[in-house]
Amino acid sequence: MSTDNYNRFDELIREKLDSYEAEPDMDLLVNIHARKNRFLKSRNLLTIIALLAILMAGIIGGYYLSGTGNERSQQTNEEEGLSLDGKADNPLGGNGGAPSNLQPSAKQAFLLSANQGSAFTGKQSGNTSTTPSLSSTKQASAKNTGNMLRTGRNKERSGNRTLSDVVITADKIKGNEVQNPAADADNDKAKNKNDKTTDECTAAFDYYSSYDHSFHFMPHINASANVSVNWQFGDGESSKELNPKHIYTKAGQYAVTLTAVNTKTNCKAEVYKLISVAKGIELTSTTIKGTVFADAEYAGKILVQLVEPNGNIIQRTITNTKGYYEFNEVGAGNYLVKTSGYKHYSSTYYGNAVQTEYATNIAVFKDDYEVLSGYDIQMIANMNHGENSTAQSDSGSKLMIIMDENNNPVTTVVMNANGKIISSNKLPAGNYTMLDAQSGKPSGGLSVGNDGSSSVQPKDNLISENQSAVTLSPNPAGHYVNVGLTNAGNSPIDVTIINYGGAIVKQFTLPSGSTSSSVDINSLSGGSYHVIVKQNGITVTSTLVKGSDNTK
Amino acid sequence: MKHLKELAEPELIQQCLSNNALAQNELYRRFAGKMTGVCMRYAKNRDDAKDILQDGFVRVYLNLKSFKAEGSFEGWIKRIMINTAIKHYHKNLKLANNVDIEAAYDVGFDDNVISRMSVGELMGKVQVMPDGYRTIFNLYVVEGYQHNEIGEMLGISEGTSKSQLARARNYLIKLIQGNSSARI
Repeated sequence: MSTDNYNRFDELIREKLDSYEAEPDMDLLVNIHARKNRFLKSRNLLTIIALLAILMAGIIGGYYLSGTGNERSQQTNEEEGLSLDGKADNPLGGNGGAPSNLQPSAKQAFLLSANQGSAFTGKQSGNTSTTPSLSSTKQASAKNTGNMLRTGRNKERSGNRTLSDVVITADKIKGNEVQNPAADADNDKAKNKNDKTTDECTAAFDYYSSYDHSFHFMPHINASANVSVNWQFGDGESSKELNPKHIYTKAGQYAVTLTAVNTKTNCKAEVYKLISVAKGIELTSTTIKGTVFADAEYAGKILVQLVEPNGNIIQRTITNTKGYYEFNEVGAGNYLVKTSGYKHYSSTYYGNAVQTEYATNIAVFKDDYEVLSGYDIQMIANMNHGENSTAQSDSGSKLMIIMDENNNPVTTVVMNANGKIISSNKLPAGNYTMLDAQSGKPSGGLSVGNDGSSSVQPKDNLISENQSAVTLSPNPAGHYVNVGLTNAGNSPIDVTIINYGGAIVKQFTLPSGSTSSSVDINSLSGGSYHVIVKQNGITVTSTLVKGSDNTK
Repeated sequence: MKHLKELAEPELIQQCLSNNALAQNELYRRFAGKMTGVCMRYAKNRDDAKDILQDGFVRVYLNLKSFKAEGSFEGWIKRIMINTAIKHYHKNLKLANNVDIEAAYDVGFDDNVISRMSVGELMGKVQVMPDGYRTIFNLYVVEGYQHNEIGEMLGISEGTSKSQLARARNYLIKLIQGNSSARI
């Protein structure tokens, strides 16, 4: 082919490739931020390490390949930082480490390619990185004496590159539940069973897995022409395609065998590899997790929803103090991850391992959230949210999700065990309902008036939970009712009795230290009342039923 | 407050420099798609491309202060991605010098076949190429580096770069034409 033709070819290819633009993977942002921040924090330390590394590198005469011109030392610093970083445990399940590449030795130079470990993505599984790499190093060195060994953590030692280089990188298996990583690594080295008639005839192959669970196999065959291949995938299936794609339906280890026949010479070569399938397509649920980036003061309070495309909310959760969230046991499907409530934050999410693309096709990236305008809710009275309201303390604070009239979450408030708002956000005037963020149970209503006042309409079930703080007896009551208080406190106690229409029918103050008081209610007509007991701004509401016959 | 989406590039860079995570997210949003494309060309598969992209963006954020407003910002980011890809390449594999079974030989190609291919399909073929081929092919054909520059980047001789490129082209042409003999 002439130079002109090459140029033409190059141009065609360049044109096409250069135009390629993929959907950005927003899930990566989680790791990027984590790594960047960790690096920034430990930059000083790393600089020292890097300097040492440079010194060492200088001593052994190695040099760094990348980094250009005056940027070199800086990039070296950084690279050091990155690799250290990669070792660190990533809370969001980033890079794991494990074996991946093993180059053929000189004797196998006609084998075209390295063995490529499968690449699962997903949770880092503890120490899987070290074992397999050690074990493959051992095996490789036994087989290829004299070849240069290199682990992923070693610095580049180039300039000494030969055909027989054995390259072992311990860098990138992202092993999600690789059941037996050590065994996998050992077996991952192809074993050739050459036909006795000729040494020329061998076969090797690579494979990789993709997000749709499929494994792609690529043979490397040294025969010059007329090759037929036969693949046995180890699960009973086979293929005669050159580059087959296969989907395993069950997790496990499979021996994949490639048999290649040169139809001219009848030379037959066979090679097999054991591959680990972490998860088959029978997988029905997954975990979706991610991070919401927000100011530190909001990080632990952001409502995140998992929403079906039709708008159904499947799960709700609240970010932890680092902004992480997680939805478990999510069935396969497409979802939207939605955040709501606070100004200025952004959200990313990522799904779990193999299932990712199935479960979560839609990246939601919210970076500009409208500032809510409205009123600060200072305090919500009459609420007590402890499941066991006897254990009242600030540690019992809960996050409440405020929903608007259309049942869309608007914001969140943090409330202590006594129903007092510890932190809140502005809310426009209107009527809202509250959900307990943890249990998802409705926890009452909230009104914000046009004058900025706020009030709460607790649900009945909450009132019943309050009974340990305030007891009313007898209830239903007759001529009188005894108001008992479990904790007396040292402040005066205001007691207000209102009817269901909201009108105050009785109001009095008990001196501090009171634990009970008998209240004459003879004048009240039969029916239901709220008894509001208020002390130090903390209010507990109970329901009182007054008998209609006044005889009890 | 101006929405991040509306920020002009210099302003956005300023915001990123003050380590504003939201601005950095926006920066990512603007460039990740294009850069994923770049990384894909250098990677075996999407996972590897993601690794490169991730490393690359960490470096972008950390090195942002060294960006001089003289050149194109996109070009600068792209160069970081390519450097990162080369780092990965070095880390993962030595140059595929072992792919030397046959000298390059002439193969013809059909314009139409290439034109009809989708970018995705072509990307798939590029990704199947041996690492050494793919890297050199990208650097020379798509990025437009010269052989001496490529040699320097990859730590190989200029001559090796040339011969590898020729083989890479043939390899790719073969792949494109679906030659099932896998003659390499």
